[in-house]
Amino acid sequence: MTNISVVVRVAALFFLLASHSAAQQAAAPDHLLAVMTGELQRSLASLKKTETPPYFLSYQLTDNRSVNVTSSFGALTDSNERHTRLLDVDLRVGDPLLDNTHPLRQAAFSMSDLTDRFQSAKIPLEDDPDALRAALWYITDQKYKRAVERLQQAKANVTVKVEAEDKSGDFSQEPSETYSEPIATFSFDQKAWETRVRRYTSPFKNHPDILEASAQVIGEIETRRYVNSDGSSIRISSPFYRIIISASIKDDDGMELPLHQTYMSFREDGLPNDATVLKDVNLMVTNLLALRKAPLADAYTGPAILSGRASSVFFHEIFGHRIEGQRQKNEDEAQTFKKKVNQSVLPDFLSVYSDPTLARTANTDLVGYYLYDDEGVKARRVTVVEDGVLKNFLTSRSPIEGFPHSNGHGRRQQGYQSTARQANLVVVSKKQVPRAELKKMLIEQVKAANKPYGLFFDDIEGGFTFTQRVLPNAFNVRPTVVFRVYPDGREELVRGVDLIGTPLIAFSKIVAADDDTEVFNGMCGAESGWVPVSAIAPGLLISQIETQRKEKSQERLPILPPPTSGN
Amino acid sequence: MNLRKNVRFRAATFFLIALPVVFSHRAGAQDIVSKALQDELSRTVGQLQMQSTQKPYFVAYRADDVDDTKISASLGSLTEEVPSHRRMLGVELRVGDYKLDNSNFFSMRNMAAVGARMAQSVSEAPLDDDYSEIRRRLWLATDAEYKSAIEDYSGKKAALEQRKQAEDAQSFSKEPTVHITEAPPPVKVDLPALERLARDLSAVFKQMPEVYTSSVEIECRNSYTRYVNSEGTSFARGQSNTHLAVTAETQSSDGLPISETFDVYRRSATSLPSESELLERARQMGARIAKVRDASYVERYNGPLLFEEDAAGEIFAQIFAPALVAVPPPVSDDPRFEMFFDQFASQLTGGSLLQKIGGRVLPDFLDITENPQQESYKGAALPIAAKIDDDGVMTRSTKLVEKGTLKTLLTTRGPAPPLEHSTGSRRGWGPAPTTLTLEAEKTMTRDEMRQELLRRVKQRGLGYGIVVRSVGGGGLTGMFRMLAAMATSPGSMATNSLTEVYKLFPDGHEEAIRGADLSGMTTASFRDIVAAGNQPVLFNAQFIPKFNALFTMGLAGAPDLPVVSYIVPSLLFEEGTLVRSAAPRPNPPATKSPLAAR
Repeated sequence: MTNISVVVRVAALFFLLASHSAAQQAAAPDHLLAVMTGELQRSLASLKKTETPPYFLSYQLTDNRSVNVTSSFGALTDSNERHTRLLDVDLRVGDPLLDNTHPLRQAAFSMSDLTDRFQSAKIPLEDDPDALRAALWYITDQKYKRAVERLQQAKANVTVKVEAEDKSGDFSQEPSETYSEPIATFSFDQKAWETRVRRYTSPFKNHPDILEASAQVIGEIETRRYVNSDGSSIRISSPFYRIIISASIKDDDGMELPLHQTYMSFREDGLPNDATVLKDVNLMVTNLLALRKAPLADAYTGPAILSGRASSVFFHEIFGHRIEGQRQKNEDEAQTFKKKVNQSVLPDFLSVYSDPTLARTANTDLVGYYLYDDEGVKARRVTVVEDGVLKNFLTSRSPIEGFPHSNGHGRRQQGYQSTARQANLVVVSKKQVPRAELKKMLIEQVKAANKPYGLFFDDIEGGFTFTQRVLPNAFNVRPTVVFRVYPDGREELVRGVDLIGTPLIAFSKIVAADDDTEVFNGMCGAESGWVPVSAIAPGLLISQIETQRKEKSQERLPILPPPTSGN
Repeated sequence: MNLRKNVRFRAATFFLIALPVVFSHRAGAQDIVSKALQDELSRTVGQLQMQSTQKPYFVAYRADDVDDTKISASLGSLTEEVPSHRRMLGVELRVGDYKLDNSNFFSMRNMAAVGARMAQSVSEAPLDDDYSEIRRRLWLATDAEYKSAIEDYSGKKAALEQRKQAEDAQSFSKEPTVHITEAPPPVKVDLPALERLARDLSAVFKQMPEVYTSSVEIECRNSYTRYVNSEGTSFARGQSNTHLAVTAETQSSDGLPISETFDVYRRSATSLPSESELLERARQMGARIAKVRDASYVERYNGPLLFEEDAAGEIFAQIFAPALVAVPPPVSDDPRFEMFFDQFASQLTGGSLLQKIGGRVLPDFLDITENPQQESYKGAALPIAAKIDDDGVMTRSTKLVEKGTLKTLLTTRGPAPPLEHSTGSRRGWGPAPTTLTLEAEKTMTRDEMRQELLRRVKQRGLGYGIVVRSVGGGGLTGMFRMLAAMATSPGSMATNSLTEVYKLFPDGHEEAIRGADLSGMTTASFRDIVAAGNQPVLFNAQFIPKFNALFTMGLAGAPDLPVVSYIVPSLLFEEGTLVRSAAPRPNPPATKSPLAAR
């Protein structure tokens, strides 16, 4: 608990600063927002006269400027600058109980959006009001026609299919919001970063066994403007900086062994200095060379420790995705937790909450941070599990049985329909032991289960899970650095391990947590596209996990040795 | 040997005349990229061999430096600006011998490998002239190519051993070695000037609320290619071109989609037509499509068709020109694939012209010549001219059709029997023309053409004749157009939605019509040409290869569609069919444009 209170204090400080600067510039009006509001009202007024008038309309204009510099083995491979603007229009016809967004049950993938050859209006990058108005008009009109058609399909679908189990409607009523941040300042010295990014991959040059090595530095600023027919008007602007370093080595048996190192911050000076990055790069080199020599792991079942980063991904996949609202409603979903509200779903020492408004933990910025979601709903902290008991789901404006309102988790990648998604998922343990103590407990478990060794999952690159009924509800977490822990305390690096399992069994095997809370910042892909998420969790001891051998390449090592200036 | 020397000598002189300054500038020092290509090539040729398998008999490396700036605008505001600078490496590696090698083989048992191969032959290289990193990338790409070449070679041999008939085609032709070094094109794009042009041109449509969507796109590209192969050929070639496209779309009140695009291709942005000329063209195009909204339909027309000016170049480019290239039929481990391929290709292209060599494909007063080295036409520089092709073969002038008879087709080093040699025509993916001229022995003036059309109309007892002034590509460009052309239903030719069509009445007056599709036009239709104009028009367009040509993808450094110049006079076809467009008719907008509201 002490860990978390630190987090909250830091976050509060951050907000204080942000709102201070917001107050200073609040006076300047936003011309684009005014154009969006005007055109929204004009479109609504003229569409009101049609047979099927829209009952809700929103525009979200996402302006993104980014600079991206990439290197490979000390040489620059890319350096570019991009400016894009994307428009998302949500237009609803029908009524909140049944509208055009109603999911069609057992419908195949819809091609209608792709085949519409008339949706080619481009969004101006410059602030010309007429050009923006014309684009808004044209896209709204296209959207409207598709919505009317879709509503008829939805009505027919409801008529011919069995009665839905969850009878909540399609759209919740939410308060209108007005919020405006100043356009954030963005600094990114492209030339300087070109020099720095070359430096980050130079150390790999000395190791011919390392076949791939790249470093990417991305600076971007995203400004989102949102207006809707409820009267909301929101402007959010934030910069975002990342360094991503990836390298891989290939073993004699063809297995490719990758390692990744990422850093992210909301400020350019929040990124680590070159000395820190190079120290980590050298550690990557050491680990890659060690992995090349490490024995291949066999399938295993038994006790294991997951580091904070590994636990974070583990919770994101097996727990986080199953508490997303629409999965309790959609009858293709396995609905693992639908009927478990106020029941125990986790060990009683664990609590889980989602808090998009957390910008930072003690030492790391959190990419899942936002103040308003993509449906214009104010973000808030949601307690999902309290002392092991399920309390709430993550919801968007698509209501679910027993949870008629959004709690600010409606998210999407531009161009997708928003659904409930994770943001910052935080796992807190009431019982915490030092890492060394957790290792002792692991060894006791290993001995008790009469296993030759236990496993320690140190680092991880990601994972995936299936939540639908059509496939077994399994998960696969993809670790990169795994050690065998022998009863005498010795640790041995192994390669080729995937952590697999099914959710309910996995939860029931969590035994203890350590005091080393770690953050995993990443991108999460699901039905509403890719969104940035963070997961925060302590290290966990699990009494029984299962691993399988990793998929591997069948390609031989290169026939010739790498070229050197000598030959 | 004699021939080889001769070619080399000519190449060198040519170069000296064209670019003397550059020669003295670059003499002596070899650049780092070329040195990396050459050194890794030597190592590969000398050392690459897997136990108990063959060494490669041919290896080629290329590096393409591409500077590309793409700007789009709509209604006076930029909508996209993407500058990009990249370097791509390409590896072509052959195992076996010139008679029979790994190329042009498609394994139906290992479909995944086919896709993987296409990806692995091209890899991204550093922008820095980093000698060791370029060699490292070549090393990995070569290794992957070599391994799949060995698999393909044994697969192809095994497949051919299962057959009675011998494969008489040569896998790879022997061609003279060449050395050419051109200087890189000057990489200089006046971005603010192009932005201004895009804004100004696109702003024309602000005054035209009846045009629903519109865009202006400008793309400037400078590329520099370095190539070396194990036969001793090497070249460095610079090319630059600029493409400007203006598109406008609307719908008639009954929902018919109406769109038009005009394209301009030039070597550089500075040689684009003047802004006032472009503005006028954009205005006229906008006015024309707005007017076409209220034009009448033609249910069906069978009779003479006059393609005037650009339209003649367009129809020649879309239907006839793609049939002037020859690619060998693929070999597969599943004979059904080859049969299917053959049927599919012939349905799409109306039959290969390969079997027509020596036969009549045009009326006897028409000739076709390809000349990739032609620099200009009537004083205007052509958008592209090249001395050497992507196989490292010298380009040359080729007479394709003489007095209506097909003499030969354009080939790469992977020729199709009975053709045995390359015509120096590899451009990216496969064979493509550069500058095609359709020349007529007897010609008519514009008025005489129209009189001839009306004479035939009267003879046929028709009320009017049809004049096509713009064929159009349906507003689609590049890949989309290619996919659309390839995806037409088997058994019928692509129907072309015509952009600008008029009824010409006996009293000489014209009436625009809308929603007319050209139906059933094939290469064979060109034998029905009865007259040609006396004022050939230069028309430039991207070359869309026919489906079968896609399977010859070799060492494609820049997988973009090549730009081709067509010099074609107005053409009168004795017979053609127009039908009313069957395109879907989405509802027109339910609300008024905000540009009209004020």
